[in-house]
Amino acid sequence: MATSIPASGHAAPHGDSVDHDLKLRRGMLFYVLTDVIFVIFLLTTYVWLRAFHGDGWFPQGTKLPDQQTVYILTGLCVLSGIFYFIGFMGIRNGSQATLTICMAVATVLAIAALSGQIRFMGHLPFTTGDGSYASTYIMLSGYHIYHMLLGTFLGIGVTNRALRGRYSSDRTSGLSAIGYYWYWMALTPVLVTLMMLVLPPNS
Amino acid sequence: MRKLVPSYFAGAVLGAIGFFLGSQYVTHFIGAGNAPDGPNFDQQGLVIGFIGLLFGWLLGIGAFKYPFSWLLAMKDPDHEEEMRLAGKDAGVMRYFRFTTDHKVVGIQYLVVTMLMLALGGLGAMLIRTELITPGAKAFPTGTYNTIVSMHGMLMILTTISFFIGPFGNFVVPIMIGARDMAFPRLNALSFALLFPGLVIFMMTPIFGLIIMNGDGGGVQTGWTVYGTLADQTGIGMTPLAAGVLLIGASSIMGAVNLVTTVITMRAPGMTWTRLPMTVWGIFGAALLAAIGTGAFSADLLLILLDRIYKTSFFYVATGGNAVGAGGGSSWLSQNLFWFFGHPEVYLIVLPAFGIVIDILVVFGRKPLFGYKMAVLGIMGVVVLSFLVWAHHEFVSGWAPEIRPFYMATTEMISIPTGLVFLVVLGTLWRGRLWMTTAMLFAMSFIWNFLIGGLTGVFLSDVPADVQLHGGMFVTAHFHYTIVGGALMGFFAAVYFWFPKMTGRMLDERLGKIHFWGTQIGFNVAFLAMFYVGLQGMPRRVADYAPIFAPANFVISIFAFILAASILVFFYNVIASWVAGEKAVANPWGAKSLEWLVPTPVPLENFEEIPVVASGPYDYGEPVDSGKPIPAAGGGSAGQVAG
Repeated sequence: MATSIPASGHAAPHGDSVDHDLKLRRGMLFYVLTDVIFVIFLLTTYVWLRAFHGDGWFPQGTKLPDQQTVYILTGLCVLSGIFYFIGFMGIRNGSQATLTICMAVATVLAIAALSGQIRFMGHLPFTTGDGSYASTYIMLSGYHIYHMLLGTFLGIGVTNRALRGRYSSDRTSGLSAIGYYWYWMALTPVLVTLMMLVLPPNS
Repeated sequence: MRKLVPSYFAGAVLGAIGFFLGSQYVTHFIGAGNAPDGPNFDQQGLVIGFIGLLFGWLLGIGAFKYPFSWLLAMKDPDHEEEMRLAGKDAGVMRYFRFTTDHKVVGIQYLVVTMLMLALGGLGAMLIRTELITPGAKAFPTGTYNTIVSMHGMLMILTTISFFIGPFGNFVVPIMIGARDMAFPRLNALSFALLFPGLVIFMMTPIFGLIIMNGDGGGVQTGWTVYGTLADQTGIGMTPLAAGVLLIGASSIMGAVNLVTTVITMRAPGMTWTRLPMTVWGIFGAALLAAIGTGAFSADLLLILLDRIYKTSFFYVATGGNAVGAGGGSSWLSQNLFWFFGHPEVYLIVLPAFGIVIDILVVFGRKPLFGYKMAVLGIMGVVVLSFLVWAHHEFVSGWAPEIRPFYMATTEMISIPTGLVFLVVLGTLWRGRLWMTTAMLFAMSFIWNFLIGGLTGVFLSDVPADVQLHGGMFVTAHFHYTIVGGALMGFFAAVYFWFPKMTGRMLDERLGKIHFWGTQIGFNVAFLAMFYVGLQGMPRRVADYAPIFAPANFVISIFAFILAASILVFFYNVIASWVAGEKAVANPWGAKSLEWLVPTPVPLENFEEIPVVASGPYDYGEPVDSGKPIPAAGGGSAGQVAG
């Protein structure tokens, strides 16, 4: 392999010749893809059990979770994703204030959705032992809680850094990368709600 | 004291405390007074203990420091701090702590995978001890089943780590001209998760067989851990599932990092068509790990939920307190498992394809025959490997109408594999072969994996599979694939890169003894296993009919010879590492970038990032300096670099 490796010279900065923004965004995108794949397998479980269900899919007497609460919690997540996007576009246009306010709002919404979801799970009208529908619902919602725990950690960090002016119109790669995760986190409850509640589970 | 905190020692202490607190918390505070049809608190206690172990470990090794500095928006570490985290001036202690240098992580993986190989090999010897004569005498049957399950799972985990761990970490960044992996902390974390994962996994016999339930408490499922069986087997299943789940997370992190590294960190001029085949093989395997591992992780997660919270994913009966209300599907688990389980074979073998090709080129002293064909072969296997999984379920009763499709796709995958073999043979053709131990193992890969592959084509045929599926023929085929492919490739890789990784040469004389012992032991044992399989001996049994006794005696004796030869290998590694001949920078006169940097490799690999001007396989052509590459013997970075 013909190369140019100088025998001497000053040590170059760590990782020179690498586009760090691109690296960060590609890495996060690929991580989110692996998470999407994992969720696809969890949703496969839903499709599979529903398609091949026996008496245990939705045993007689099983009640549905309170749909209104689910829609509110899902709405909070989606709204949080929208605020994240507005904040991101704000800093792209040079507005620190938009970024800081929107990230704070997005994080508060995520925390509200997370707290509400945890409380809601404690008051479900079924338990894990009440058939495949109940099992699947709790499993998917539980994974969503994991998503939101991680998202809340990232949201607090991003807000804190925004408050300290760590982002500017030409320094957005971290925001962009976390954004990929945030939008996915906001989308997951929509998928779960559609599959577990909007499509009638007992039909 | 400052050297010990943070370190793996501190992690082990805090991990043990975390495990104790976690398990006791559930047992003493939550479990008491609950209804008998509630969660299984013994197992819940174990899992909370595992979570405590993980957090204690990560805290002790200092893995939380950077995430919380980021959270608090503290000052980003400067170059000097990064270098300290990478092990600058840390001496040998850098191998015993959370270190970001990819080379240190590679060495850590190498040592741990060899330890795993030793433990898995011990399991194999116990199995062959039981099977040396008919009549289950050596172990109670439940214990035997646990040994079989753990041997299978541990060896699979080992072979998955064989290449991506040690060589993906140590060699790939240098091969592509990078200073490190794309995300050094994620890289260190990926190894840091493997270790507690293994510790938890190894609790299977401790909790399953010794502490809690005796012979019935182990794992009776085999390495496939089908959900319906796993729901009902002993408590040993819980640490097995939790440990493998954690190792799966480690594997996904490693895969994300490797793929991002290869895509974004290549040096100027290192185009996709100049990547060494090792990089292509590991890149393909990382793609498979990232996609396929999710299926198995989901399977294990659902098994744990079924066992602890009595959910109904895999259990099909209705009612009863032992498991959930029913409504689950036994085939769901099988499909989730095999969607990972079959690509996993390629995940293990693809890096070996690349490494073997590279070694054949170096020791064949001629350019690679058919670079694009080899890439097409490797990436063709990546794509097709996700379309073949259901051939493992031909006799399960699931969806018999789609069996022809899976038969066809399985047979089709021999086409890209055949391309790789064509490249291998074309590269060897009329080469000036230098028969080092690395070359011998690379050539043995061709023979052994060919047998594994060809018998696989027979097994993909539905009528043949229906006859042979439950027998030793399948066991022999599988071992020719994994041992013949991965283990031979691993040995070739160790003999090839050991000088670069450790600065010492492995002893060639011991290497030849290791090679011939391995070939004779392995081939006689497993060809005899094909024979008993064709005669109708079932697999997964502790006892068998007397007519199979002579062949099984031969199998066991030659399996012991195989094990003895691997002991020679371990001795060679330890002795050479301690006091072997010192290695020059490029003892093989190879042309890829890792051989053009000094040994030991500097902390940031390159003083300046190289500019790559040609491919790694241009043997027979003069290099920039005008001097031809030596056919054999020593060299140095200066001689081969332009």
